[in-house]
Amino acid sequence: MAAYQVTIGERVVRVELRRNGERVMVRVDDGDEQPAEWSTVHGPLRQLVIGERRVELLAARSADGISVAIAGLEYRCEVVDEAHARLASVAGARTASHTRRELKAPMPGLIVAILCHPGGEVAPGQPLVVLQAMKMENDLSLPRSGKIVSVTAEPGQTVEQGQVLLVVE
Amino acid sequence: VFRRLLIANRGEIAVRVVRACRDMGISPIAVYSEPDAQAMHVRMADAAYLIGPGPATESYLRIDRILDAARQSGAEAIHPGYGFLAENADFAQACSDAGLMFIGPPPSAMRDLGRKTDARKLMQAAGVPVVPGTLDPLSTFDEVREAAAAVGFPSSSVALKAVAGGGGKGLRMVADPAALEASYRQAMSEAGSAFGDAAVYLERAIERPRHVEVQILADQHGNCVWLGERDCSIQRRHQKVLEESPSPAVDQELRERMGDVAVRAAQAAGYTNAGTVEFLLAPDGSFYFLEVNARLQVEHPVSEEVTGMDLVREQIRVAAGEPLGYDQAAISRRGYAVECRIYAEDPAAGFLPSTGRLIGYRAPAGPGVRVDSGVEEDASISLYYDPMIAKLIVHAADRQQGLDRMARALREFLILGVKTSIPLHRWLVAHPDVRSGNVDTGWLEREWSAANASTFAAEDLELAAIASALLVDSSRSTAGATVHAARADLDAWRLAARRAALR
Repeated sequence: MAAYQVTIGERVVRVELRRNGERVMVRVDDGDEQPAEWSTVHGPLRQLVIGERRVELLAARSADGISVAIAGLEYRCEVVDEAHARLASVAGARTASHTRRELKAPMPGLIVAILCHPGGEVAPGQPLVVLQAMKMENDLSLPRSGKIVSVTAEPGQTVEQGQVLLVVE
Repeated sequence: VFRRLLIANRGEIAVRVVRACRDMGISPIAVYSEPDAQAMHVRMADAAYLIGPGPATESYLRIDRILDAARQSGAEAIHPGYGFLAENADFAQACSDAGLMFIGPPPSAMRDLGRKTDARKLMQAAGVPVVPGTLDPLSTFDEVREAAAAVGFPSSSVALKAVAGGGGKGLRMVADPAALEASYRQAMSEAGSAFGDAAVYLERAIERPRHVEVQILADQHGNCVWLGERDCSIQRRHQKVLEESPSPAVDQELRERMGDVAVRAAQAAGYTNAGTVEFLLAPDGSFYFLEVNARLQVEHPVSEEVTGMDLVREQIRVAAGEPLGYDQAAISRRGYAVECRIYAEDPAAGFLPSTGRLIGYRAPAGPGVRVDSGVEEDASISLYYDPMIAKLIVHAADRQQGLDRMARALREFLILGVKTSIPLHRWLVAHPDVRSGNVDTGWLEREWSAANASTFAAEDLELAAIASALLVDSSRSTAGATVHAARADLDAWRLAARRAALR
């Protein structure tokens, strides 16, 4: 048996998988166990049958976890193996991917303004940094709430794609 | 008509023109920038010429390099698409000076229509209704104050607009007398930086207008027809988000009146080829000339679906000097069409552009569905150009069926690797105001909040969680050391992203 904690935006979903030969039994949070079929059609195109529901979807690893597209919407999923997470916490390490969140520059640009300060509480979607790129000012935010640990960018600074601008816990 | 035609553009519109060329037995020639070397429009053409590095100012906007490519390739005509050089009268002139046929209106008409105050004078003289306001640029704040008072300010609001512009740049709406002077300065400074010309003029603001535009087609023999209207009232920051035809606010009597006025406007400017006459439609049914888009428009497929015509083919025929060969009575419209512009931007995060590689791409298909796109799986959405991924157009018997079909097609559209505007579009086509057609140009910005992007996310969130867990779990159970493999995989992605950013 394996169990995973999957974080999608604000939601954390626990997915328990039990393999029984070719079959997989799936339990979501405290729900009932249901049989699942999972198959790859080609490339990222897959078919998932779970209980009564059948869905075709795209799923692949991406730069920040697993990306899944269903019915026109894309979900960015962080998947953490519970056993690993437990080991890590027993060893005294922080479960970094779980509680810490970095706001990274999605593209190269110029920092116009920082709208938050270390120690401040932030809400999901709250504008934190204004980045000018392609002649447009873009508000950068995080999908989850938390407390600002550090701010590593400052107004007037030019940043590269992927550069960490601030850290939230 | 022509044997070879060069396409001075990229992306979906270049692909669109390549296809029309193939339909007509014309050999299509592409131009491309360095990052576009593998792009779809390049691969589909018979020959392709490198015209410079990524930034458009060094490639797709370089008139000299495009004309060199045309000469080398032996092309007889140039299609500019939309954007880039499409409405640049100097480019049209340079083409004709080089003995190349420019697929578009004559440079003189482009110049007359390009300056908004000149266009307003021209239209007023031709009996086309224009919004009350000034016909000349305003040079002092005193003039602004007088002009505002003359159209009833402050009991009605006014709009300050760039003389050289369009697309909402240099546009300021003013309701408060105290804000008039500051708005005038802002409009001038924005117009100056966007167009290199700070001149502005003033119009009375039309409250809660719809944006309704009429597609026209004119040959070089004095024939001009209108193909019907497109309603583009659903806009964000003056950018169209959804376009439909027929308009839910236009009946046959109004349609014919607008069509006749559009033809009069085109003829007053000596316009030939395909063009669009844009109007503001007030809630009381009165309509006013806004501007002429002297090119093929992004949303042209909506009119193609409703009329059954191929507008690019007509453009090429007319530019070659052929007469239209049909009159207004021969134009018929059938059913309803709607287009959604699918952009690589995140509606949940302030419409931030989302760049990267399309690691998965599965476009919708089936009855009444058309996808105009210049990308496919593995293509990159770069920072250099417009982040449009595709135009999704559907055609159906009537508006309700059309919106249902759009909802179906949006659900079929699966894109992985970049955030897209599909969540916005799914929300739109389900919204009661959109369903009833009760919208105006300010509607989307009044109604939209980032949370709307997650309207449908909850439905399938658990399935996404299960799928991601299964993906991780099956890669682990099928191969040893997969955790390491996954890490290496991730690092390769990061490197690729970094390389892409540095290019």
